[in-house]
Amino acid sequence: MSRRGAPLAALAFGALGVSFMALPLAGLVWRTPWSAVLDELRDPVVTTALRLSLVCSLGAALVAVMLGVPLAWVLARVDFPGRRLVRAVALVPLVLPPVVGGVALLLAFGRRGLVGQWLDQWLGVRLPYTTPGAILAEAFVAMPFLVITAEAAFRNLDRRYEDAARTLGAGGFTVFRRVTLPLTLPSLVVGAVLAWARALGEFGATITFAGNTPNRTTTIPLEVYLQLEAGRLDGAIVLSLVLLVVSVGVLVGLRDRWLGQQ
Amino acid sequence: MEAEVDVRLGDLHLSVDLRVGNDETVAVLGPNGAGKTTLLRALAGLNPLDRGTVVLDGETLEDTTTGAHVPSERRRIGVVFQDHVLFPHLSVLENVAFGPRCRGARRSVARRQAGAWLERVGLSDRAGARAGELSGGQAQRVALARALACEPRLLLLDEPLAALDATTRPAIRRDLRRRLDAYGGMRVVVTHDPLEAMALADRLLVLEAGRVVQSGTRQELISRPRSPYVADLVGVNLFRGQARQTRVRVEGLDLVVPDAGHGEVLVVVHPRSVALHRSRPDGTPRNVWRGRVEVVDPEGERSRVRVTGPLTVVAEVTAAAVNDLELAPGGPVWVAVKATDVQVYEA
Repeated sequence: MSRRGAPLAALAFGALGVSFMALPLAGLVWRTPWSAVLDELRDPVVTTALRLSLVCSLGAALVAVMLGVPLAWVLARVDFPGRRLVRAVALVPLVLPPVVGGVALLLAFGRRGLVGQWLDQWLGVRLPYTTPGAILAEAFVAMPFLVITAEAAFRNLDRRYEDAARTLGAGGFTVFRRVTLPLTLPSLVVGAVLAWARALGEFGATITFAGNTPNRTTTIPLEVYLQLEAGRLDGAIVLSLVLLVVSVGVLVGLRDRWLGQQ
Repeated sequence: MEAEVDVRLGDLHLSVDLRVGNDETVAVLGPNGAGKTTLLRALAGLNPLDRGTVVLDGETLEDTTTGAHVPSERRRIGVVFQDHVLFPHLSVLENVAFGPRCRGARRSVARRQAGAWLERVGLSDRAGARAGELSGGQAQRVALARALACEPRLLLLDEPLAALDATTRPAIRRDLRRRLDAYGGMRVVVTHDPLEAMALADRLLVLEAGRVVQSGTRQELISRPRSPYVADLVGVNLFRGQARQTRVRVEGLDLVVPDAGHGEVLVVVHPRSVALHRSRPDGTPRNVWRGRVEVVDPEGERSRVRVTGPLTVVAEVTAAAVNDLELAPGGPVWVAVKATDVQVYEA
């Protein structure tokens, strides 16, 4: 639609809307203590949180891919009763408050949880308040982004490529490895990046399930919270800025696939 | 190959018996939605049969009474899909090497075999190209090479020429016929184009709404169509009527014919045997009636004129005749057909 034709009132409300989204970001950038940014980033507390965040978010993205891709494939390709229900379950974390997710994870994987008690008893594995626990919490919240993207990719792939591969002698796994996977890879990468970005910013489920122990579970978002609590505003701002830069980077990187052409 | 195929898919109920001999091409001809592609997919094992059997070279690939089912990847059946369906992420050479690789050939061996196939279809110089960079004709040859590289006993082709533009189609059709004849196995070509079917196949099978309405050689189809669809395909007038020796009651008219026996018959009148006149013709024609011009379709030097009346027929006349007779939609015209030009055979 041409700009000339747009009613003035709509433009005004549009401006109001975008201000609402942009002002907080502007505030963050405005209050950033630019001269101290490098010093803050060199602070061992901060570097530890950064390193831990990187490990946990990449780990969570990996878990999401390993579990999410097969699940997405099944949802896209296998017609079974209850498929809609399974899809709904897989997508629940999208709308579930993260803190509820954390509580739920405790009840499942906690020391007296549904599965956790057996993990503890048989394997001696305790997930709550550990780095693997933080990875698990982030993966739980991030996986739907991967599943939703991957299922759409599998669905949109012309089935005849797979049919052609079969008539050429490829068995089920070869078809997946040599045809399905390469043809859907760009979308799967998008899904993985979205899941990673979500995991990087995860707060509620992580702090509930994995606690807030420096060098074990204190990722950047948790460190931001600690710094604010301790009245160290500059530290909180610098770490927030790091997350903002990453988010904008993801948005720019995926702009063609996620935001359309305009 | 002998197959009895019974598949229900949505509104379609496909029920076909198909036999293909060694070194024979059978064309399955039919309108869209007749079940042609479903038939091919069923033979290739991509769609399960509801009932029936598929036997290739004495080996049972599928038998619903015993539950036997050989999966697609282990059938010696090659498929050339409509629009070719070349793998877009692989080079032309890798596309053709895909089959041999899947069948256990080492990478170097598969690539060598693929190279040999590309040479055979005259595309060695395109080996490194991506599928998307090929012309329609080239993609078609790659798809054929890819299917043949697996050395199938039966080759299935789904609308092999549909993706090509009209100017290149005749040359590619001749080329394809030559390549199909060179490959000694059994061939099934599915198409909606009668010209293509007749050019590529030795025997035709006409499919309508999942059923075979007629099968036979091209000559049999042209001289004795058994359904309005087939008559339309080969461009003749077909009627169903009741015969009483030299007369056949067709719609609102008694046609005079050479002896036709008794009972229900099919009547074929070639459009070139239908004469049009401005006034009632005298003399020999035994079948004369008055009609009204419905449409005039010019086709090159000749025109096809559809005339409604007690019997609706299509006449094929010269462009000059259209002028002389002042044929225009809605205008009156006399129709004449000689008794000896009416072919009658049992329904």
